[in-house]
Amino acid sequence: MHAPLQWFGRPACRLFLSLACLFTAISGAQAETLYFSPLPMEQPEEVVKQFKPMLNFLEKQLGAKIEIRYSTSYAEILEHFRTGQIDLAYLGPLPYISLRDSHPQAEPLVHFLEKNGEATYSCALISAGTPLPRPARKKTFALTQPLSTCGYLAIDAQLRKQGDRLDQQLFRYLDKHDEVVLAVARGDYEYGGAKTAIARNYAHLGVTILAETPPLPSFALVASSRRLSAERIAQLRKVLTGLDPQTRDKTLMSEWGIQLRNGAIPAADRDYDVVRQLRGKMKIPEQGNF
Amino acid sequence: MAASEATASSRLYRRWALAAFLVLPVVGTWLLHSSQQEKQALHEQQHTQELTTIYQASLQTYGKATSILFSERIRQREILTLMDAASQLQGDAQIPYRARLYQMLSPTYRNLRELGIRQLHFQTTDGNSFLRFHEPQKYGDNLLNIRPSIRQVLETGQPIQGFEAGRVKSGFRFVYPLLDGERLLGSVETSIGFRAIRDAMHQLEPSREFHFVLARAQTLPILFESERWLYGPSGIHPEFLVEDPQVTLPDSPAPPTAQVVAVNLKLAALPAVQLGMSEFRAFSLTVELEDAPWVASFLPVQDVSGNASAYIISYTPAPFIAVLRSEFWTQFSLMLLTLGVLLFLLLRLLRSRERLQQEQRNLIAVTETMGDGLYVLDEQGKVVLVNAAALELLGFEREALIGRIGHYLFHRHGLDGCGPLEECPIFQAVHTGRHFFGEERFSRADGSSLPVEVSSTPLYNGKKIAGSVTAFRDITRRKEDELRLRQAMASAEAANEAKSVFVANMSHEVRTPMNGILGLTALTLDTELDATQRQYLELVRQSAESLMIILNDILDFSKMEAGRMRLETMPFRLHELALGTARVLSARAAEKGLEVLIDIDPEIPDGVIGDPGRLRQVLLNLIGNAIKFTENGEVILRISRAGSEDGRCRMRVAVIDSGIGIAPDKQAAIFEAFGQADASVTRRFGGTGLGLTISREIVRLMGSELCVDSMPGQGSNFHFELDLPVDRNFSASPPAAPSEADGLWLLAIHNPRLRKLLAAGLRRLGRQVQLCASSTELREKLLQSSDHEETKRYDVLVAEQDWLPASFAEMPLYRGGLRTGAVVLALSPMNVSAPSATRSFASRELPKPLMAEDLVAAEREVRDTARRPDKRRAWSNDAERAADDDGEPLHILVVEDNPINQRLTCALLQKQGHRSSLAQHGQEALEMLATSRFDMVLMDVQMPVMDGIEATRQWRSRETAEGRTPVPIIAMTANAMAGDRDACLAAGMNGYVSKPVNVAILNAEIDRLRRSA
Repeated sequence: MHAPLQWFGRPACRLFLSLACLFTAISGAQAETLYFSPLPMEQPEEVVKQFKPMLNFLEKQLGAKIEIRYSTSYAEILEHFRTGQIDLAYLGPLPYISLRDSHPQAEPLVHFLEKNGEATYSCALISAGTPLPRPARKKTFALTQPLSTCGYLAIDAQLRKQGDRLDQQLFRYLDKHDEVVLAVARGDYEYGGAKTAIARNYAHLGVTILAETPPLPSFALVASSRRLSAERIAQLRKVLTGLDPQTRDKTLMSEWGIQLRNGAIPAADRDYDVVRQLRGKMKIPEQGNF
Repeated sequence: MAASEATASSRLYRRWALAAFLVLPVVGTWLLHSSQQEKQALHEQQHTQELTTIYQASLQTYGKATSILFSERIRQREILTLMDAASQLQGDAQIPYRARLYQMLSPTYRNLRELGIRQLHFQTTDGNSFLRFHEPQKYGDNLLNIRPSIRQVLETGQPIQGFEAGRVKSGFRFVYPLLDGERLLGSVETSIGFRAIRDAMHQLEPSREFHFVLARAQTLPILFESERWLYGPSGIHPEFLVEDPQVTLPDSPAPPTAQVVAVNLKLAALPAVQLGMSEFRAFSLTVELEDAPWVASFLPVQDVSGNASAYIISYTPAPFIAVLRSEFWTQFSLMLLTLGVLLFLLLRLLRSRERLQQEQRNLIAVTETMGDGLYVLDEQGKVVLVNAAALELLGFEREALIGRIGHYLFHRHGLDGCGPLEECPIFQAVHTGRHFFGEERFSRADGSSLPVEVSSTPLYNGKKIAGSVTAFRDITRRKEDELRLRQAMASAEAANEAKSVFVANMSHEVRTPMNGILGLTALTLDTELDATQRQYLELVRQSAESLMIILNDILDFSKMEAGRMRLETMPFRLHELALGTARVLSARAAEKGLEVLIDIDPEIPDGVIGDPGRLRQVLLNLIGNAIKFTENGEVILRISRAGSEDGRCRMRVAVIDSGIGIAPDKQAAIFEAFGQADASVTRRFGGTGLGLTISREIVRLMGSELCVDSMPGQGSNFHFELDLPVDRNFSASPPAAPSEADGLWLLAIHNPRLRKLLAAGLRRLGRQVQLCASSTELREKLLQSSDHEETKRYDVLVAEQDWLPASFAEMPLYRGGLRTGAVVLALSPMNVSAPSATRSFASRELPKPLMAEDLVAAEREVRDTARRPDKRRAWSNDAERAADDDGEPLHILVVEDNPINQRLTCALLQKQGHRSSLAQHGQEALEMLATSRFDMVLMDVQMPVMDGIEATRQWRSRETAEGRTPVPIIAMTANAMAGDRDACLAAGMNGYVSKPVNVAILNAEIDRLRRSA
C-alpha cells in the first residue's frame, strides 16, 4: 500500500501536526511554547504514546505549552537543535556528545532512570540464537542509526574486543531499536545492536544477547540553554527530579513511557565522558555498507 | 324560486365553496408533503440498504483474502507442527517455536501490512497470546475473556469474522482455528482497521464519505488503559467514540471533511439520531448543509458476539432529495394554481348560476307580462311552458296544456281540424331547423276559431333540436282592418281608374275639336284674306294655340296627379332637340330683343336615348319662362358634361336668363301647382302656373330634380341633371376639317356671349376667326381687309342680318374686304325674313339660335352647292324643296269619324298635292282597302263601329294571309296617353301623329313612310 519511506514520512508528519494541535488544544492559550523532539528509536505511535503523558505533566507544571517536533533521525534532531527549531530533546549518549561537539549550549537536564532505578543502560550485541564466530567476517548486522549509541559505536566496540571490526561486516541502519531486534528475530540479519533492555523485550522471539557494553548514561532530557532561560532549565530539572515514581507520583507516572516513568536524576556533561572514550576517534559511517 | 331564497342559497353555496377551497389546499399540501416524505424515506432507506451492501461486500472482500491467506499460507504442516508443539509447552519452552514462527511468517506479515491487514496473531489452545506480529513484544496474555471471537473459535473450532473491540485498537477480525484434522492446535487471527474497510467501501461508492464510531460501553472496558488516549468523542452521540480522531497513527482513517463535520453538528442536534443510535438501528436521514441536502446513513456494526457495538456512517450529497423538494414545491404551486383556477371558475359558475336564475325570473316575468301568447314545446311537441297571455287567448288552464301535445289541443290547419302532427306546417318548419312565421288559425278551448299570427323558432341543445318556442297574437281585429282596407283600396282604384278614363276621354274630346280649330284656322290663313281678316284669324290661331297649351298643361297635370305620366324611351339627337326647341322660341325672344344662345359641351354625345318629347316640353317651359320674365339680355340653354359611365352620359341642363329673378322665399312656391312667384307676376306675365309643376314632375320621372338658383334682379338659373344612355347606333358625322384652302373667318355678332361661343366653337374646329362687335367695326374691318392681298382677305363672313348691306349700293364696300368666292352667312331670328338686298348678298341665311357646327356646315354646303352645276340659293321653302324632290302624289285613305277633322285632313293632303279618300270608321276602311289600292292610310284611333287599332290589326292579318303588299298606316289620334303610341305601333301602324295635327310633322311622316316604302 505505501512505500516504507512514505509510510513512515506521511504519518510522521501527521503525527507531528496532530501532536502539535493536540498539545496546543490541551495547553490552551499559553504564554511560552517549548518545542520538544523525542528520539525516533521506536515505532512513532509508541514514541508519542510514551512521551505524551510526561509532556502534558510538564505543560501543567511549567505553565508553558510544549509541542512535539517529531524527527525521523538523530541527525535531524541535532540539526533542529542547532537551528533553534527545538528547545528540548530526548537524546541518548552518542547523540548528546555529537550535539555538544557542535552546540555547546546543549545542556543535559536530567537522566531518566531505567526500570531498575539506575541512571545507566547498556547496549547489546544480539542474534537470533546464533553465536558470533571468531573471526567474524561479512556477517550481516542490523544497526539503529549512525548517532545511536547502541548502533555502530557499541557494536564496533564489542567486535573489537574479539579482534573484529564492524567495518569488516555487512551492516545496515534500520533506525529503530525494536526494528533491529525484530529484524534479527526474523532472521533478516544475523546480528544486531540495540538497547539491552529493548532486546530483552524480545527474548521470547529467540533474541539472544551475545554481549553488552558497560553502563552508559541513560537517556537524558537535553535543553538548549540558548533558547531556554536558566530559570526555565532549573524549573525543568527541578520538576523532573522532584517526582516520586514509587509512591506519590506512581499513578501519574504509570501512564508515562517505560523509559520515563521510573524517575530522573540531574544530569551533567561529565556523565558522558565514558561515551567519549568509547567513541575515541572513531568515524562512524553515515550509511550502511550493503 | 323567490329572489330572496335564491340569494340565500347562493350565499350558502359560496361559503361551502370557499370552505372547500380552504380545506383542499391543506389536504393537498399534506398529501404532497406525505408523498414527498415517503419518497424521501424510500430514498433514505435505499441509502441504508446500499450502505449495508457496500459494507458487507467490503468485508467479504477481506474475508476472502484472509481466507485465502489462511488456507494458502497459515495452514501449512510446519506451522501446524509448531503450534502443536507450542501449545503443549509453557513459558520459555515456547520461545524457539515462537521464534521459528516469527521467522517463517514475517515476510507474509509484511505483505499483509501492505494490504492493510495490520494484525496477525497466533493463540494457543488455552487462549493465550502466542505471537503478535503487530506487537511482537506483547505475548502470553490470556484473551478468552476479552476476546469473544478467539474464545468462540477455540470453543467451536469454527472460523469467525466480524468486528471486535480490542485492547489496543478495534478492528475487523478474521479468526480461524488451527486444526490438525479434528484436533485443535490453536487459532490465528488477522485484523483490519476501519480504514481498510473504508477504503474498500470508497472504491465501491466514491461519492460517499465513510466514518466509524464505536460504542463507548462496548469499547472502553476492553481497551488497555494506556490506549484510551487514542479515542475521542464522536461529536454525534455522547455514547459513541471515534478512534484516533487526531489521525495520530499511520493507518488511521482521514478525519472527516469540513462538510461532514458540519453535518455531524446537525446530526448531533437531531433527536432521531440520538434515539436511533441509542437503539442501534439502521437508518438514514437527510440534513441540510448550505441549502443542499445530504443523506447520512447509519449502519450498526455487530461484533462477533452479535452485539451492536459500532456504527458505520456514510455521508453523501443527495441531489435527489433536492429534486424531490423541488418537485414538491412545483406540485404545490401547481396545486394552488389549479385550486385557485377551480375556485375562480366555481365562483364564476355560481355567479353565472345566479345570473341565470335572475334571468329566468326576468324571463318568466316577461313572458307572463307580455300581451302575446307564448308557449314552449319539447322535441315531441309537448307543451313545457305557456304564459298567461296564451292561456287567456286559448281559454285553457295551464294544467290542461303542460305535458300534452299542443298541436292536437289548439292547432287548426284547415277546415277539418289540425291533422297529424307531422303535417303541421309549424312543426315541420321548426323540426327541420327553420323558423316559421305566418298566419294560422288556433282553436280555443270552447272550440271557437282564433286567427293568429305565429312566429316559431327551434330551440337547440348543442346541435340537436330540443324543441321550439312559439309566440302568437290574436289578429282578428287586424283581419277586419285588412278587409276594410282592401275594400277602400278597391274603391280608390276604381275612382282612380274612372279618373284616368275621364282624363283620357277628356284628352280625346278636347283635342279633337281643337285639332279642327287649329287646322282650319291654318288652312284659312293660307287663303286670300284681307289684312283685317288675317289679323283676326291670327288672333284666333294664337288664342287656339294658347288654349291648346293650357289644355295640354291641364291634361298633363291630370295625368301627373293620376300617376299615369310615363316617359318614352327612344333615340334622339340632343343638338337637334336643343336647337329646335330654342328656335321655336327665338322669334318670341327676338321680339323682346333677347338673344337665345345654345352652349353645348362638345364632349357630350349627340346621340342619346330618352324621351325627346318630354325633354322638349321641359326646355320649352323653361326657355319660354326665361323669355317671358326677361326684358333685356339673353337666355342661355347650356348643356354641360357632369360625368360619364360606360355607355351613359351624365349632363347638366341649365336655362339661364338675365330676367327679374325670384326671391328665395318664393322659389318653392313656383313649383307648386297653380303657384307663381306672386299675384303681380300672374297679372303681369300671365300663365296657368302648371308649367314648372309639370316640368318638375317630368324631370323627377327622368331621375333628377329641377332646381333654381335666383335672386331678384339677377336673373335665374333653372337646372337639372340627366343621366341618359348613349345611342351606340348613332355615329355623328365628324365636322368638316379645315383645309389649306380655308381662310379667315370674320364674326360680326351683336351679342358678346354668342360671339364668344361661336368664335370658340369655330376655333375648336380649326378655323381662324376674327371678331366684330358692331356694324361700324364690321365696315372698318372690311375696308382694311380690302387693302390686303386677296389671300389675306376674309374667306367667310358671319354677320347679323341687319349689319349686312341693306341696299345693293353697299355691296361693293362689303365685297371688297372679302375674298373671291367668300361665303357670307346672315344670322337672323327664326321666321324673320331678310331684305332682298341682304338676301342677295348673303350666301345663306341662318336662323338663330345656332352653333358653330351649323356655321361650318352651312359654309361647306354653300361651297359644295357652288361647285354643283345647278347653283341654287341655300334657303328655300322646305316644303317646296320637298315637293321638288318628292315623286308622284299619293292616294291616301283618311279614316276619320269627325267631319271637321275629315275636311281638315283632306285639305292638308290636297295642299300637298295628294289625293284623298274617306272612311267613317275602321270597318269601312277595311272594305275600302280590300277593293281599292291606296298608297297610304291616315287612321284615326278612336272611332265608332271599329276603332283604328282593331282595323289595322285586321288589315295586317289580311295582308299576311293574302300576300298583299303592306300599306303604310299613320295613326292620327287625339289620345295623348302614355302607351297610345306603342299600342298603335304594336297593332301594325307605321307612324304616329297626334292631334291637333302639325302640318310639318304630318308631311314629314308621310315623306318618311313614302321613302321607306
